[in-house]
Amino acid sequence: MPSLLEQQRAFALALLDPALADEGLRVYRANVFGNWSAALGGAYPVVRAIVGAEFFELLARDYAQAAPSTSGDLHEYGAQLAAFLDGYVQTRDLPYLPDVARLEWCAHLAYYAADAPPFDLARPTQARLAPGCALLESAWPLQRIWEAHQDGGDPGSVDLGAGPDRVLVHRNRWRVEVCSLGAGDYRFLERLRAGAELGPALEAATAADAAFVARVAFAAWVQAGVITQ
Amino acid sequence: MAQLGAGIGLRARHYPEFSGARPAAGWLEVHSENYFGAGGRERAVLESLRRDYPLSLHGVGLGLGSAEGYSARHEEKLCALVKWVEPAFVSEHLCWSTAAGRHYNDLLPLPYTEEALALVAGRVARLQERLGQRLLVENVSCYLEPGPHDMGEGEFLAALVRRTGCGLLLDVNNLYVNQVNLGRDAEVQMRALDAESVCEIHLAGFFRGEHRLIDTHGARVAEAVWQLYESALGRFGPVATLIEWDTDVPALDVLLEEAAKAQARLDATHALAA
Repeated sequence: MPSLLEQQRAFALALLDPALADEGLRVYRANVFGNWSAALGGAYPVVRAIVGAEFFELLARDYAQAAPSTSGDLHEYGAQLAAFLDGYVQTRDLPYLPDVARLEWCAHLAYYAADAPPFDLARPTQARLAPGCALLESAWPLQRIWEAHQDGGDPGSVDLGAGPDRVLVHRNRWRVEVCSLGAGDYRFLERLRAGAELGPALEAATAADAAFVARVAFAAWVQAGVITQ
Repeated sequence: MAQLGAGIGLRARHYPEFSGARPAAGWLEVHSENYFGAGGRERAVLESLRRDYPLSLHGVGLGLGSAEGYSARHEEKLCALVKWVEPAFVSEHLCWSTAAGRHYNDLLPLPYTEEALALVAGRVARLQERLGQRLLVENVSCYLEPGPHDMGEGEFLAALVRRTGCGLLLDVNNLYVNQVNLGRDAEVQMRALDAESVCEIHLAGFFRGEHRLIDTHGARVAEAVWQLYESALGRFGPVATLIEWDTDVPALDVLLEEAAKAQARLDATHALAA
């Protein structure tokens, strides 16, 4: 009799092979792919809306075959979607899609990120970005694409030719927000993320953008909970 | 824990009803993995509810019976969550979920063999030691026989209890689904169990497929399952009972109605015992 390991490996291979049509196996296959697809759609609602629910099912199936799930926590599923889409022929006519996926994965991580203590003004040199904050640069107007697909947004309103974007993803209490940044703010937050101290980070930002006002920017990002310690 | 009565599975859809109000549920069960995140809304909701309701952490991703790929990291996260929540119950499924480098994120069926029993018993014993509390192990619904068995499902569960001292989370709907799908007599499985080993009961609704019942947790509890539940209460006493609903989750009132039906049967069992 085959060992338990041999049995489970055989069962696992059969699950992935749609040519095997045993009735019970088909139920498991539908459950397994359904769970993966639902998890992927949960993490990538904007990608799903852009390609449409029907096509998303096909995409999810191809992704599942290409990028195995490796965690029993489905919230960790889908981390490689952007890289997968970089090489996915079927969505080549949507060149901005991989960047949207990159953005959504950051948003997904931000949603579950650790809560951050408020910034302590008595110890300003320990400033750092709150957990879950992410910075992205894209050739596409990412923030507008994101905004248009939130409640009350109009997906038809996005001008894809609006040019490049630098965005910050962060969580405001329980809600994930995406905002476009000017060159100064981007450099400032990017330096903090890299571990720079507050003074040098502000100097780098001022050098990058003459319009950057250190005092105003610092206060605003503390207020937004983006800078913590 | 018989005094817990009837509870419901809490899903994100019903967070608003629990924000500021405390609907009359005896206790709440959540999926452990939904709270593995470091922070954010899910943790805040749980932090608030754990003060007002007995909680049960129900894991869906550990895969106690996986011959390879069992995750120490997953176990670690579960232990940390249990330490924080201090739940009334911690439960996992009698299933496997990983093979050949891939997690299947489903409750895959185990053959009831000595080999599987030794593997699962070792994992359960170790996990209980780490948790510092009794683990409840749940029988799953099956859509095929995974291989030759050495014993019946009930016998396997009873043997697991004897070897590890774990408790059982008896899913009566799953027993019924397996009876219909695979011809495993539900009453026979229940007769194999010691009364005091059953610490929790699950009830849910299934979907009637063309050739099989599919355990979708997406409907009201079927009449035949209520009957089996009454039989279970007669055998095991007024065990804490949970209404599970995972797909097409309806309004909270529907869950509470189902829980009230379970509670009425629990009360009747209490009255009979008094």
